[in-house]
Amino acid sequence: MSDDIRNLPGGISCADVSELAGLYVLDALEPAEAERIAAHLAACPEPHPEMAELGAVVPALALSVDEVDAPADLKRRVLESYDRYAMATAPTAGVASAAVAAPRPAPAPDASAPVAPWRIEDQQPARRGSALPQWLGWVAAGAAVLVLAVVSVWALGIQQRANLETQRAETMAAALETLAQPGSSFAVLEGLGPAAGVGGFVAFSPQGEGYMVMTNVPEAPAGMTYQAWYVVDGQPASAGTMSADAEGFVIAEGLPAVEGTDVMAITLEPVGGSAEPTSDPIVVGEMVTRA
Amino acid sequence: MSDESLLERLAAGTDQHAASELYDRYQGAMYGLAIRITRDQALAQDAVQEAFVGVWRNASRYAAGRASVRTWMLAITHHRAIDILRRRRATIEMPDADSGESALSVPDVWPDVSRSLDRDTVRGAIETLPAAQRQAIELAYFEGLTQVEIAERTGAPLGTVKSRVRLGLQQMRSVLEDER
Repeated sequence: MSDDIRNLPGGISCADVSELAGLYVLDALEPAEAERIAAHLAACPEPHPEMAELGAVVPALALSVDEVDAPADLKRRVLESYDRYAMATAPTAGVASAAVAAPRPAPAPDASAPVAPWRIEDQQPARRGSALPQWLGWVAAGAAVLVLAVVSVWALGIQQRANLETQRAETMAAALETLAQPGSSFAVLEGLGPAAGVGGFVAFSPQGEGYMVMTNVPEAPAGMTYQAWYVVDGQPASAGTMSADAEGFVIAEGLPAVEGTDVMAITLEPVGGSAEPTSDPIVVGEMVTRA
Repeated sequence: MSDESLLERLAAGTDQHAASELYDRYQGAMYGLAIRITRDQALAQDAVQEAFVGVWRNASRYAAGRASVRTWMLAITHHRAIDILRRRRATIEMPDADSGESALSVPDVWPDVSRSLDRDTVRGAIETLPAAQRQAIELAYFEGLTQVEIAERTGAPLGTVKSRVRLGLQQMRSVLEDER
């Protein structure tokens, strides 16, 4: 590659950008190429009207589709999700006393019945509908301190908003203290699909004491309960069952740390919990250790 | 009450009536688009729910002068549905915290070519395209395929895919502008 190319904005010429404009506005370029074009557009002194010209057509494509009435139940789901959002973002949230079942200890490993590797497939990190700030999604996982700061600020907001009853307030304070402790490990929890509004964190102290905090947690369907899992090398081990209070809060303590945990995940399981997950995770978070 | 006013009420604070009204107005268009993309009722419902989460969380960021509320909400729906589709395609051993994007984010929305377009007009514009151009655009927009994937699917060289998409969008714009 010549110096000339390297000196081009984004490393790509105006002519090439114009050629790729259609694919760019349709979000049909490989990420690296899209980034080069974005960098070019940000730095290029020449106007690129072709982007807006072609981009204006893209929204129209959605209009070519027949409308289809959504199932009636979807409105209830959406408005329930809105209510949880409204509750969590209200300047003075109502009483949010948590009602969390004590996590059950992980079942003893059964050497005679090896657990099949549990793959978290087709799951991007949740990041959708989370109660955490949008810009958290832009934070690289390696920037643990920054992630920690973001989560801490978010959690402090919850603490200040929520009129937690004394015991839960103390648990929340302990969870925050653990989160801020040097050497702690934590995971930002974010919901997927039907749990899209869920956000929260898990934090373990260097001594192995763990806490879990989540907001916007929908009521589990009848006969079902939430169950948390440590995922170590793709193998899940139960971290206990839990339920949310009426305001969708989960504030749990007493989670023991499990060495080598890569990911914390939550599934819906039959009441009483399962020895192994019987469904795909609806909340996940990757563990990060604070230096 | 106008769409813009409903969004303003969501942006100003919690207003379940505004959320409910916006749902009633656009659920059909949003669900239809999500079904067309995902071809799965459960995934489409997830996409619409996630889209509404994006709508009310970003109501204050809606730029009225840039696109209509309908366009904005459909763009968010498209973004969520394609994201779900691409997630389903990928087989990921573990979640990758470096990738993915926030459900709270909304896509950049290009200014409308016109705010008065209807379904028949847009379909008419699509039908003016040569079949290969139409296919390339539809694979990108409705199936979320990239240039490389479109080339593999259609057997066309990458450069041809690039040209088909660009020329097809240019042709559509020309037709739609004439309809204004």
